Amino acid sequence: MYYYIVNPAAGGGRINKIQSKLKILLKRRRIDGDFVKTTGKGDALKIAQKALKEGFTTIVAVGGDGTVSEVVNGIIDSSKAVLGILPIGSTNILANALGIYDCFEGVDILAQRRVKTIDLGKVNDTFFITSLEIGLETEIQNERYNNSFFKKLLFRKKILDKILTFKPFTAEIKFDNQFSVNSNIFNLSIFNAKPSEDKREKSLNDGELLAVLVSYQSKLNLLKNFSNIISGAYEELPFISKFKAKKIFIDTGKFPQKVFADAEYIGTTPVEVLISTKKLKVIVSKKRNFD
Amino acid sequence: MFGKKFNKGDIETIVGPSVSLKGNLKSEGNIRLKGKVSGEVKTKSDVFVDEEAEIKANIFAKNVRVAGSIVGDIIASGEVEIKETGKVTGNITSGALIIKMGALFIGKSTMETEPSSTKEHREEKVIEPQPEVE
Repeated sequence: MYYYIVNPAAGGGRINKIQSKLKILLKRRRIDGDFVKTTGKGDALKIAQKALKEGFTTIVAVGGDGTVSEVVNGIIDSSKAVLGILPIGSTNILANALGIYDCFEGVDILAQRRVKTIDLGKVNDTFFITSLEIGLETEIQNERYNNSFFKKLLFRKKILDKILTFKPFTAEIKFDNQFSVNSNIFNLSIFNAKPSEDKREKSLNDGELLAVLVSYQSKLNLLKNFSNIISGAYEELPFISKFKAKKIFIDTGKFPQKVFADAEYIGTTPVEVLISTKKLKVIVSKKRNFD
Repeated sequence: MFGKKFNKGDIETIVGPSVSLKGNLKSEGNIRLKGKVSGEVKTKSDVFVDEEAEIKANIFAKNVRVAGSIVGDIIASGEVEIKETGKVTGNITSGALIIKMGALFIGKSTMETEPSSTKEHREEKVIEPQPEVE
């Protein structure tokens, strides 16, 4: 039985325009079910938990990354639960990681019911699917994927201002209790799922986290690499560090830094980040970029 | 530019410039060192030590290319190449060694086809005789 948790605010209220068509398509594919709308932040998590108690096992997040993240954390303790996604938000990184790029195409993907068990990252008591961010990305992430031309221009100006005024922080990062790294940091990303991969690589079920650390550089050096910073292609920068680990502890000493997981604020440093292997069943597309 | 033996494919681990690493760095894939490392570096693949890198560690790898500074031993089952800007103070055990003009090497070199520290111990299997069936 399918249970649809809908964020009416996602994508600027997009569900209001497409709901009727969506329900027809779901019925045609015989995967229609209860549609429940959230009323605010944190609601999707509670609704998901309630749905599980009522016996539903396929819980579909209809929204953006925030909605999906809440649903994931609502169903994580159930071994029977399966997550589905119909992406309608402003940012849909989580859906894209599973090969789901369009809401209506998502209906076909739900109906095909290709289920994979994926790893999740865990930070404090929160699980995340794609990434955890500390540093510059926490201040710009949600605006990166805006499609409006004017907003893209504003975004570029914002990045430029950030580069010129950003105050780096020092961190000690410990990997698997094997080695530690010290650096002045511009941005630290810890990926469970690497974004925008062109080829099939095992990332969502490889049992490892990938840390990409951008050390702070001179403003001139940062400006020289402006286009890569704009697009979030930190791995292309010449001054990155890259490590794989199952457990990563991040301490920024006397200056706690904001921590975002799946684009949602979850607290401040110090934090311990762990990989939870084969933690969540999800419905995926054959276009996904992992096995 | 590098010997054919060096695999310039994906770099799995990078220690960037202005980063300081302490401890035992282990990887399955290629490692590139551009910052400061103290401890031990171990991989089944290749290690690249860039010009600005300062390494105080023993390195265990398949092939090692050194353009920076290493104080420590290098144990490579394949080739070690010390570039013109490279400085190695320590012993090298490898299948082959290339030292470019301008490089600095203070230590002992031992050439082996399979250095003893990288050899895997093979377990002996004891096969019990099967009883005869009449």
